Amino acid sequence: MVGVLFVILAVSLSLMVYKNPPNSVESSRLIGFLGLSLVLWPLFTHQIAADYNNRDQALSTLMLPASLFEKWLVLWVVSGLGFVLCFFSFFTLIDAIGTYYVNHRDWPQATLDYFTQRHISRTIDRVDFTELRKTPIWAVWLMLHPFTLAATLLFRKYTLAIGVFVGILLFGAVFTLNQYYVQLMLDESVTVNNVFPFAGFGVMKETASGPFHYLTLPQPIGNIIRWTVGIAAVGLLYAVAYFRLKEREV
Amino acid sequence: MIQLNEVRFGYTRNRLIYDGLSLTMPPGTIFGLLGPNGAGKSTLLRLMAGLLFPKGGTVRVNQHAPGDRKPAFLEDVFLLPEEFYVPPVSVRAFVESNAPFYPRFDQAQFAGYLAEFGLPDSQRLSEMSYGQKKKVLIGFGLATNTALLLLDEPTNGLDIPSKSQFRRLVSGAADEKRTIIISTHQVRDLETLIDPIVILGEKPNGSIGVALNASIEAITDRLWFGLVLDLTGLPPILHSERVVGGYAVVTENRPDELTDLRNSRLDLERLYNAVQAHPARIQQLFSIQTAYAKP
Repeated sequence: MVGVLFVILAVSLSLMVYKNPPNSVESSRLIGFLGLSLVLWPLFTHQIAADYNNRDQALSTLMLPASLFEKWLVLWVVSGLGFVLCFFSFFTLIDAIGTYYVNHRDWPQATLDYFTQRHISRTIDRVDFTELRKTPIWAVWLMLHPFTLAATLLFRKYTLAIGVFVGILLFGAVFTLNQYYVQLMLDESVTVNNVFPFAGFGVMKETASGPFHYLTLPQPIGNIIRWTVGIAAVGLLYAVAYFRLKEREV
Repeated sequence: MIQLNEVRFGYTRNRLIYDGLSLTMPPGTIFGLLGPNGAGKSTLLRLMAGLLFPKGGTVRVNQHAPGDRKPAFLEDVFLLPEEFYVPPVSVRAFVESNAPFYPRFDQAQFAGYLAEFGLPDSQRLSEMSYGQKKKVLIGFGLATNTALLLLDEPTNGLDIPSKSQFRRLVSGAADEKRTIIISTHQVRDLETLIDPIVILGEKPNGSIGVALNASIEAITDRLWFGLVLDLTGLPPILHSERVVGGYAVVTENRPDELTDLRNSRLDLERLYNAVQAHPARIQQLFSIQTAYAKP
């Protein structure tokens, strides 16, 4: 499964990111990182956790003389920490190769002229994961694992559809509803830009200081609320998964 | 010691398989668990293993509640299910990763079982036939030396020589502290191995109960198994079938009238048929108070 993950990453990133011009690579690779992980992490987690939905495999695991917490921990480490480590490692490796390829690529003269006109650098640095902090999606990203784990163990059938595809659709719906409710709360003359849960957002309104304004959450209450809600949601989903594992009958 | 007390269990809310099942199984015995299809033999083993939770009543295995799935309980029980999963690793790797969980696992004992079955430990489990995999798991289960060994249809898929090897190995691995429970349809395979016999049967209310729980000695003391030319002049017949040369019968023993009918050899298949055909009479003969016996 880890090998499949590497191949999917390598092929997807090669086709979607590293064949593009350097400036495009720099702006799109973290989007590629997040986009692929949004699909691959739930799939990976589902593959691991779905063993407990297979009677024969579940039996051999449940009968092993280890505590429920140890079995739970193995599931969490392999599907959660294991995926994150593999995904970051593979991405770093593929990015190193991709960056080398981009920096040493023989561009046609017309393209080089275009880079010069637009002041586009021919070389790029390797990916900087600290940039992820600036993307508000990371908080939702952390919910992927507990959600998929809980959904896979909560439902015994159609878990791939529920845990992965419905999960992704659900997160999409949360984004849409979030934007809808934010818009409802504001004056009609204000246009709300993309609103990510747990983050500030931009609004468009003509004022003396310009058309675009970024609304940040009031602090410290903003951080308290978003951290409390986020941690509670993650904790609740992990608790659901834990107790479903405890109650699993085969 | 395994104790099931008034156990209620069903896979659906509307239909209970067991409704008040009580059963005690002392250590140091190889129980044979027989019953018709759908009687819940595998379910009973899974209840004892803690893989299923009773809806009512209690299951206790050596002072443990199996449903708690505590490591102290799990390291003293091994279940070989009829259908099983084995990882795609070699036998050696399988043992290296699983044996440390069982404190009394005996490596030399396991090597002896593998040699007996003629299996190499370098072969991958996924490349083996169903019967070979089963032999590996049987050997592994015996070598764990757990106090409770649950074997669900262990001879299914074994070739003829392996069945006698299986009987030899299991009888050699039994001791006074160990309870081995073998659920089977293949009664001929295990006739000489299992004692006592537990036969499950359908009760008048549709649930499954213990129709017979008796030692071989008690069974042959109360029932007679034999071949007769005709059916006249026999004690009450519980089962009869035509065979070459006459009738194979199971009758009640009447030591006061027919002393020559004593000490017959148990025929498990015919015993099973007799129990299914006359559960109430069997209950009376073996003095088990259940829903079968008429008031």
